[in-house]
Amino acid sequence: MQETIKRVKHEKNAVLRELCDIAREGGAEDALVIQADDVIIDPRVRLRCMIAPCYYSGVCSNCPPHGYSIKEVRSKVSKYEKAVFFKVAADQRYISAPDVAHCLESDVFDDEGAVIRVGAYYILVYQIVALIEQRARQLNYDPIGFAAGDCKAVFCFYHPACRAIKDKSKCRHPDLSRPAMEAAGMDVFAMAANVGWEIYPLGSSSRPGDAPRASLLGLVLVF
Amino acid sequence: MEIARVIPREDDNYEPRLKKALEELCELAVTEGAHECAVIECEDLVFKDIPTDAPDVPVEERSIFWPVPLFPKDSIKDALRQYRWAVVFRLSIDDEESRGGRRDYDDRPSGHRYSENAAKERIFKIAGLVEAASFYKGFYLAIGLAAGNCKDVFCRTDKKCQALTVGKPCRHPLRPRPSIKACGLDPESIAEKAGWKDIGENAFLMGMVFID
Repeated sequence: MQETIKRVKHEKNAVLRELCDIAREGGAEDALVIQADDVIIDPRVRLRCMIAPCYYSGVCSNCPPHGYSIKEVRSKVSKYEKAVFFKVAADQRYISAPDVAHCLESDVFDDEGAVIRVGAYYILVYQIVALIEQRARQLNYDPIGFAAGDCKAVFCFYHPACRAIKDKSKCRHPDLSRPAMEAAGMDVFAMAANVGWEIYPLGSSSRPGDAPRASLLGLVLVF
Repeated sequence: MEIARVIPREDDNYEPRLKKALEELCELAVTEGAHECAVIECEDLVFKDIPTDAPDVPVEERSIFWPVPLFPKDSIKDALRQYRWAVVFRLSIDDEESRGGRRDYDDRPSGHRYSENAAKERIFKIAGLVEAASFYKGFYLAIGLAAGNCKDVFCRTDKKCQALTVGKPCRHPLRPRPSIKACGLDPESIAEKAGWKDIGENAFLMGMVFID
């Protein structure tokens, strides 16, 4: 019995290592295994999305006031023991480009292409989440992934509306679309700081050079 | 602008950094036009029940934050109860100007009274600036509350609050916010906590930013 337990634990650790490798090979700068208990769920994070309302508040089915409630997220996370937490390095010059905030507000692209570049970083996070989930499912686990930003801006920028707001089954990109960690009430900044990652709060008023680096983070609860 | 690295709460520098930030945020509120500002502890803030609706308010007066903040899936009270510190600020209102109905949004130096409309606009602006400054100082969970209905300030000429339509965004993202009262808090008791005992003697409007 003890041997079986040891073997299962060894296999699970091997799975987690493989999933971290997939994250890194997929483009993550770093990937770690964390305990599900270390996922910090704070109702203030979801409230922060609404007060003051961000550009996509209410527009995306995965973002507040839509998406999972804090209670739902706590319930989901409580069913897991381990997660893969990863970060994607983004060029802070593009994340903090002065036109990005204006473009997101007005749903247009800038001539310099900063919004496209920013979008590419976010797409990478969603893709890595999808890759990790896919492999975990192949190994008979039931993972649940969380990405960064809002999926409407990333995948449905050209569409006037999110189809899934009124009917989840109508999402245009169900294989890729996921709630952001922050939209699910996860305190991404604290989680990153707690594992020793250097992270800075970049926002609409930040400009190139205000912070030395930018990161986007994702999480997949594995088992 | 220098953006602070986020550090763990258990870090020895966290509390000193927070204390310094609270002082700086108060100074910022005053620089931006608040007549008074104070830092308060949030531990024993009293919350009233927030009604789920106010059916008597016509749709052209409603917004996502007025008369009741629309946050159906989670509890605003539960979120606000997590905070330990807040910055509270107030603007005095000039009764004469309010009666005259002047609409001013000017940059009068601190010390001058505002008309009520100008004070409302200024409260929203200060709340936004203090909230943003807090965010970039590494206290990214800061949430600012203002006074009155954001529609009166930002969308007064629009027929309806756009964000009330499912799937539509707010016309002025990052700017509007609910009032202290709409979130179930009692402005008078908060003013008392701030040490402003002259409640009722002079009209004033209050805003606050929950920091950490």
